[in-house]
Amino acid sequence: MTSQERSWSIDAASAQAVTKEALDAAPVGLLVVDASGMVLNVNRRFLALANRADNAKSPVHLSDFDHALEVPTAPGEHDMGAAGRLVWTKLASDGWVGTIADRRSSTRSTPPGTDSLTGLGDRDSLPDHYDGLQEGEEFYALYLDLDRFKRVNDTLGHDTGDALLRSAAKRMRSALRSVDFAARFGGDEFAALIAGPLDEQEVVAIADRIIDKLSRPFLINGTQVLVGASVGLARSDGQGFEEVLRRADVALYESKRRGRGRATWYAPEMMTALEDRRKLEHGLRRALVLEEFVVYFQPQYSLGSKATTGFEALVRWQRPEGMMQPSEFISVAEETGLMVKIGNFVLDRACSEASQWPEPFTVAVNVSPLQFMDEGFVASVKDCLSRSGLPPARLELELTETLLLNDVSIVEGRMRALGEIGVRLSLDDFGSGYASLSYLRKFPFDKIKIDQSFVREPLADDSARKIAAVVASLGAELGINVIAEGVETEEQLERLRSQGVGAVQGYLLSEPIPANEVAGFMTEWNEKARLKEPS
Amino acid sequence: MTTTTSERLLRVAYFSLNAIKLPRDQAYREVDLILETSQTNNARCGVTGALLFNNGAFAQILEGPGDAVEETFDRVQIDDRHHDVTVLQTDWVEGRMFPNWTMGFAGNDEAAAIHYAGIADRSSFDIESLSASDLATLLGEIAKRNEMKARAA
Repeated sequence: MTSQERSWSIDAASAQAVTKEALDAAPVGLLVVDASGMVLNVNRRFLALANRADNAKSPVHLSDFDHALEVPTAPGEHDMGAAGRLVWTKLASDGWVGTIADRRSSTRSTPPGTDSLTGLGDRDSLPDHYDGLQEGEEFYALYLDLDRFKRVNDTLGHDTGDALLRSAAKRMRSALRSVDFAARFGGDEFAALIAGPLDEQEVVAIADRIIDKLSRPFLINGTQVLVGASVGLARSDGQGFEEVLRRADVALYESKRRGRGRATWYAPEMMTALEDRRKLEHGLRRALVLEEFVVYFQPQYSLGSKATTGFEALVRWQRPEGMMQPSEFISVAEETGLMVKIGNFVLDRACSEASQWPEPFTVAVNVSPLQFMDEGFVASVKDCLSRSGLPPARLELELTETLLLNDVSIVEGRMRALGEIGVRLSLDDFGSGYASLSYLRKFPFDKIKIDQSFVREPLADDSARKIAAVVASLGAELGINVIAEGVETEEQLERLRSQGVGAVQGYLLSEPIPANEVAGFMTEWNEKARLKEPS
Repeated sequence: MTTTTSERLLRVAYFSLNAIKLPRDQAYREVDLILETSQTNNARCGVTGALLFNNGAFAQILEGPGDAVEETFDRVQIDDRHHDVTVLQTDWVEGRMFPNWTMGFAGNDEAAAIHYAGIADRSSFDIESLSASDLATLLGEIAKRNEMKARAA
């Protein structure tokens, strides 16, 4: 028997019954009318959505519906108010089919207060749950977000991200007790109300269990996906629900700052610190507008040519209250994304200053990972060069090891693009972070900058000094220039010289100086030749 | 015919450390319980595989339709009886390595105990030293032996 024969073997009546059943099972409201508006078919969901009880007299014509329905003249939408939007499609047989996407089904038929993706509660459901608690009943708020979730979404796509969130919700739920309430606030943010009374260790145990389960591998579309979780905890303490939740959020922020993958209790000083950071952020935004940032320059001295060959541009924040060092504001600038703007400002100032210097003085500019990964980075380098007229070979960009942890193909592509322009690239703070020798092979660096921790006592112990020597010879082998930063004493200088380091920078030569002192430094310095040469 | 994700088979191999610190016989009973539940669960959704267990660690291979394997894997992750899960391999494969063997337990297999004395005597598997394919071979051999025993019985 062929499949065609088989399909004909069902009698017409039962075929119709199957069709009706299928239509009724469809997750959309469906109505079929002929050109005059006579109803040819209508499913149960359409009747329910159009406010007609299932057992009411079956509508015969469009006008039988509660809503003012008319035979459409063209395909399009018709607003049916609370029922949703009726979409008309023309049939080849001159009739029309109307569909209504059930609003409730578009949110996966989830009851109100439920997060449609995960089935946990949603943001709005949490206060309701709180209201259900007995007056004065002790509870704990847990605020959580997934570590590295954004990377999953960016690299594996939103479908994978959504699947991960669904699994994560299940795991979180499984780590909680039945009396606890879990909700998703959107994105990768989750919260829970943990019912008391419990002692603090018991609450931490619950949080740790959640973190443990979310840190275990996920398997999505045949791929292993690894994330983690950070948690903030706060106790009720007689505070209102919203305040407790806010405190847990503040504690979560602290967990993330301390390196993620951990639970942290709220402490009042966190709120103060957060307030300080907010003020700092506000100050930074204002500083950008008011141009309160100034660029200082620290000389770099070549031990080979026995001369200052260039300067590193260093940003300072000249506030009305006084000068602020980058170490005090960089982390906030990074966190808030303001670093991109600040970095571009420094780059622009540095190029324009350096273009006034005689050949062949170079300028080295620090580039934060955030700034480098910004899509417009290469273009803004080009802009700065063309605006200032600085020859590209005299601009050196100092990149950090942490940058190299980003998407390798993007980083490498950008480095090549910059290389093609003729800009020099140096690897800053080498050895201070994730130093890997493979970076030197994989990425086209012109220079390595040995981190001051390998140069300057008391940081540099004997083995650190040996590492500096190895890096120097490594650079020589690879044909990459090596410069040491943080040189403060003649002794350090002599050691680095004997180790074969090609250039130095540090307070021994000069502290960073304002732009208007650079020209004076150049002449004065070369006359004085302050650095003693071994006789 | 196009091959969709659900038609291909997903094979996952992983290790995890045993969180049940029980006397040996009680631990065995606990694992029997795990096996029993997973056998019923997994047979229903078309997941087969192999489990190797000793007092310190689990090593497991799951095979089946992607969705089902992922669901099973997720269920396993929620289990408090183990931790430190390390995925060794995830692969889309054409056929099953363990088609007739829903789940098996190597811990009370005498021959296996003798054969893998080096592993069994230690408190945990040396995760670093066993690759995914080593594990597959190892579990495969146990499966074969179990089948032969079953046929003989």
